[in-house]
Amino acid sequence: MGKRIKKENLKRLFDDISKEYKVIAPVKRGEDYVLEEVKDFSEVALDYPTTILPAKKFILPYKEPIFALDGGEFKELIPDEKIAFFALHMCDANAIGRLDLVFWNDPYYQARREKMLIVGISCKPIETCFCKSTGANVLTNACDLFLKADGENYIGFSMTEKGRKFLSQLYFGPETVDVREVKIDYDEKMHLDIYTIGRRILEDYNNPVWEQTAKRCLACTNCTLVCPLCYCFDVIDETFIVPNEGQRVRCWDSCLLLSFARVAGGHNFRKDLKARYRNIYTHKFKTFVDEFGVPSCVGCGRCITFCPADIDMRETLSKLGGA
Amino acid sequence: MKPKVAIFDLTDCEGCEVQIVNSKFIDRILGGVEFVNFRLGQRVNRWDDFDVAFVEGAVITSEELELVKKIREHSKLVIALGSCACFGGIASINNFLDINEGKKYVYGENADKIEFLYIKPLPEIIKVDFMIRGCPIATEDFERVVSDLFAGRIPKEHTRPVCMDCKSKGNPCQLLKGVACAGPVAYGGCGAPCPTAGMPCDGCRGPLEDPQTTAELELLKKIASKDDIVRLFRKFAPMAPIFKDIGGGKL
Repeated sequence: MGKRIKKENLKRLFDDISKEYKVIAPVKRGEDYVLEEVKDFSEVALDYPTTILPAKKFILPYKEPIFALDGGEFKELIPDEKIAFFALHMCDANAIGRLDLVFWNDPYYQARREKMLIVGISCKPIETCFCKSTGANVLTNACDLFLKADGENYIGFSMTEKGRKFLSQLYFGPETVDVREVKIDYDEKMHLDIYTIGRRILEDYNNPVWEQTAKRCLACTNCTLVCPLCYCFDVIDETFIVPNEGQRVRCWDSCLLLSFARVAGGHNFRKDLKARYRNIYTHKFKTFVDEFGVPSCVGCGRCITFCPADIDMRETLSKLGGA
Repeated sequence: MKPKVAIFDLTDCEGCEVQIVNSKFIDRILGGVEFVNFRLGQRVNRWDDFDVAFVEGAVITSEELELVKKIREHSKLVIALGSCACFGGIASINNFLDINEGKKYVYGENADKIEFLYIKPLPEIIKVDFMIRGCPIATEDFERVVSDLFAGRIPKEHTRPVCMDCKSKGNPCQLLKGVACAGPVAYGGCGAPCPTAGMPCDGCRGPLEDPQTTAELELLKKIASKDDIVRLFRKFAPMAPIFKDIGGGKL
């Protein structure tokens, strides 16, 4: 059940959310769109292809101090902020839903997540999108509120108590609209049978596609950084000259790096880029599925859009699909 | 007793030393060590046996060549400071050119009086215990190394490409814009100031461990001329491994 909202009333919704939350929304920067803190609704891009970095930038920041030693005194640094994402695409909202499966008992993640509001919005799928293949094109309760495009205007759906609070206010129309299912439907450029392919990865472990693609891969780590579901991190201890002042930092890592699978004593489980490149897929489409029932990919297409070497994850996956 | 520290400079711009003075922890550093020899930072300097000597700059004259050997003899640890000491720096572009022509252009009739050796990076002349890379170095890197030394830890190498610094800031990719950028093969940890300011990475910190050079060059050849690629890798770290070959025209 949804309620109608006129486009011109979105500003009032945004302003009301801003009163309670630090609002993060897509804005245009040069040729690209980025997620940033926005104070003025006129800056929000309601219609955008994709942002360079996903919401992860704010939920699991690149470098996050988790505790500090201050004059020898231990201080845990639990984040204290109320973030609202405004106008996230369905895939990005569902990515947060899948991150929840992993970080359900992580105190730093949960401190932000519990207070968070997510307002999703309809998108116009672009050439690199494959959210249908990953099952991330369907509205879930990862969104507190979803704004489905309805001509020039929108129909709002609340999925949680937090979202309902905003849906019931003055700017939504009184009558309810009966919509059974909210999903993003379109013809994907390449549809993939993700679950079958995921099973094939281990069966066809030495498929030549790994070697062929790794030859073109720069190991620049861009795909893993822009991925809304690549959450691997490293933990670094820093001291500030004197030994009783310092901090422990959680920092993004990437399995494409040689250092990622290096262990004490210098042994490395994935010395070849081929093995590291394959690891992205084994994790996303096989082991993550085994553990959580869904792939750790929402088909947002960022890894395709932002790969400098023009590597298309869908092509790699499609070569594993046979048999 | 406080550790005895020296900071020497050879042929350079002194920018790395300025980065040290810029440290917000300079008071803590001054409180923890005795600067026995630091020409840029203090008036009175002397020779002694040093616990740590930082050396900035490239070796261009035979006088400097003797100096670095002397520094090594007097120091428990020698740390190369910045791209000039680590990889020859900008001055070593001359290694690829006709130096006599260059000297004549700059010094005219006095050219013959100017000595200019083939520039070798410091690790090719003396044993270097650690390198703090960059043109200039990042103050944070200096602080990190000093903190590690104080704590008795071996400083760790960065293992991430500049792309990681760059993309973590949400920057658009220079390569995707068709600009030749060394980011994917360049040693990171700098915070990607160049791409953040809209310029490509020149790889001033030299190559990353396990750089995908073949893939990088294949990609660069599609968007840049051979000359541009050579110039890119011959700019700030011309004598670094791998970069030396590309800068020398091996594409």
